[in-house]
Amino acid sequence: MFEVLVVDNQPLIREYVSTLLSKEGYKVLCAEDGLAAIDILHTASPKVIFVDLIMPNIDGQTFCRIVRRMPEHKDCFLVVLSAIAAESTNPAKDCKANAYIAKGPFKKMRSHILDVLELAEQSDFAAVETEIRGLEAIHAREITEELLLLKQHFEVVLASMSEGILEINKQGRIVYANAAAIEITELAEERLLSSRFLELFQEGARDSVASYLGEVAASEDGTSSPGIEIQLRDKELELRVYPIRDEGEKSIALLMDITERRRFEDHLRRSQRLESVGTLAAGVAHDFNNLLTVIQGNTDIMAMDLQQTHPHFERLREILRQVQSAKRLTGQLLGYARKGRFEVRLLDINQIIRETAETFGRTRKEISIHVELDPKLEIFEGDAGQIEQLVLNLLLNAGDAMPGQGTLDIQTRNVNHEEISGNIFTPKEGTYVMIAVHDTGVGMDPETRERIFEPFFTTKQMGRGTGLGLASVYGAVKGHGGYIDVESEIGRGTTFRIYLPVKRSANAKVSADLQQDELDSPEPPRRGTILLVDDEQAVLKVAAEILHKLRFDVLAAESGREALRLFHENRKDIVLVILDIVMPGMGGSEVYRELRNLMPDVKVLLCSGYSIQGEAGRLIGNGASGFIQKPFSLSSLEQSINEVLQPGDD
Amino acid sequence: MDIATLAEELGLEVQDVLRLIRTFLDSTEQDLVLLGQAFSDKDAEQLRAAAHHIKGAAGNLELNEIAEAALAIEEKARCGIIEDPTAPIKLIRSRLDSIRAQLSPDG
Repeated sequence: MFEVLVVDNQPLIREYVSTLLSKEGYKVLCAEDGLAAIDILHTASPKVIFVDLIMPNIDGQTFCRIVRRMPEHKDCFLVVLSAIAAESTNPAKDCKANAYIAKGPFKKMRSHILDVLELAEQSDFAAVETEIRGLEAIHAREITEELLLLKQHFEVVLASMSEGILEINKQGRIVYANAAAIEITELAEERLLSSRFLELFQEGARDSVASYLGEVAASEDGTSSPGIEIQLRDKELELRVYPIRDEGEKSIALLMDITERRRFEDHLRRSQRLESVGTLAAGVAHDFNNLLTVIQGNTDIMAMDLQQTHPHFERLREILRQVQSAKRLTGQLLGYARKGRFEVRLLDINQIIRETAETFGRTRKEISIHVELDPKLEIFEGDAGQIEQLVLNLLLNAGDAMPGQGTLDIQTRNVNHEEISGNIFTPKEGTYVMIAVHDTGVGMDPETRERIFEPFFTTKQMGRGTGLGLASVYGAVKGHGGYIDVESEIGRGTTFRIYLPVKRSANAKVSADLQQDELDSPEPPRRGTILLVDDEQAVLKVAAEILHKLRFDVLAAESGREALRLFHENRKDIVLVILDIVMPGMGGSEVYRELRNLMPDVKVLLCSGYSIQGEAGRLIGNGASGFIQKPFSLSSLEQSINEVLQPGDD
Repeated sequence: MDIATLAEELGLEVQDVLRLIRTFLDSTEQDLVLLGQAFSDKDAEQLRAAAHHIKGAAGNLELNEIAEAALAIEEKARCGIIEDPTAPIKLIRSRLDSIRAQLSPDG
């Protein structure tokens, strides 16, 4: 005679079936629920299992499903012994049981139990019965049908939830898991059920979970504890546990996979950090530009007054060269902060890449450069200087990642927003120009990858890198409404992908010419009075001297109010106002408005250490005549004045 | 209750049936306590579950009067109706007492 397992939470049924079968000569094992039965199956191998459907802990249907997945038990003869098997129109089809017996009076059940045992001894175990034995002894009741429908309804709800639900018994073992919990834990149902909840987590996390469970158990209503965030495999989870006081100290654990949410929050936090550093960088650059204006102006004036043969002439040229280097640095800072000079033109990005790659290739001959440019690449509307700088910085960065030999792949193509989705950002609808730069260099670890766009972050030796290259790339991309994506792995190289949105405006013109400045011989200046307004005394002084050199008379005002007073008194003589935008008290915008009230056709050249974007751009739109960014050279100031003052104005 | 006939019908010895009946008495007694508790707690689900157990066990032994009393509670609780179960509990207890009396050496 073989071994039989009886699984039922009703002691009377267990006792009757086990007594009956023992008398018939079978060796009988009993379990009060599915969980206890699974424990028995770890050491025993019953040939026949009688199982109830409605049980606490692991229910009969789940138990049957698990048995059918256990290699050593999957062929055993399963007999569902349940009242609801008879009372449902859908008698637990999922059970894949070999036979069904409706619960009822023992004297009726007896013959059915003995019959199925005989069948089990003789028959093919693969046979599955759909007929329910013992139905004649009981009557289906609508009420039980409702109960089953309600249960099925809850099952559907639980199965469709994105949160993982686990039911944990008093001993800390899992007795129920919905589909999401199975997916989140990445464990098959048969492994998950009956396992210990704490053992789901890596060793380092278990103490936190255990401590949280203790807090929940100690709290009065069990719901005041807010939940914890915990790592499970490679996922970030939010775990909440709710005790069920009335049901033998069971608990429900809610597992929410917050990996994506966390990634998004990290991205947002990083963006906010970059933004705040950008604001700081822009402020520093603005102040430096004021200082550079004074240095450059004074040096220009001195250079103009000296013969080229003078022993100090070359020193002044060197100062001006250094000022240019400093100007490039502040330009990069402003570029990062998206507050740099911004002149929108239609650009042929392929052409920019060809030229930049050629220049780069001449300096790094040991690097093999492959360029694959889409001949149908959309014309892009943007700032030529920034885009050239962007491409150059990407190439320099790739070159630095390949100190010896290496391969650099540069690719461009048109993509639509759908092709770039799947990243952490959600691109706006439309067409984008993609620039991809891949190097076969050393690659980056995740920590470095996190910080590469921060200004002043550099992995290079002290003095070898400013830490502004990729920061200004980031700023330029953001300034153009684009997106940047980086993939990198230590030893496997790095790929940057830049996506720049394609849009056109009617008045843009195709050009990528750069502004020339410095020490070119000035054209003959026009005479007249210029009202110079700046809160920085040093700037006023040097700019006034430059204007004198350019043969203008100068009225200098240190504040907005003083400027208005001087303008009021000298309006007939003033041909131009050079107006600083950022000033304490009455700012440039307000002064401009008042000047327009006094003289609607007043010519105003705006001036700032910030860019034309923002306030200056708004005033230009409002009729201001032009803009010059600090620091300016004598020649660039002259050029701007000439552009504003048409012949005959002075 | 004719124990000897029942034993024959169930394919058991008389002593097995006596043990079975004691199990029934014990488990039903526990379920009656749960019934009272569920009513105090206004917990329809617990009321239904306890009544369902009593009904099933009584049905197994064909103690129809007990099964019917439990069924009435179960069906109402299923609909969310929580009625004072004192009267049916009293009836069931009296039937359990009769069975106990029959099992006692004097019975």
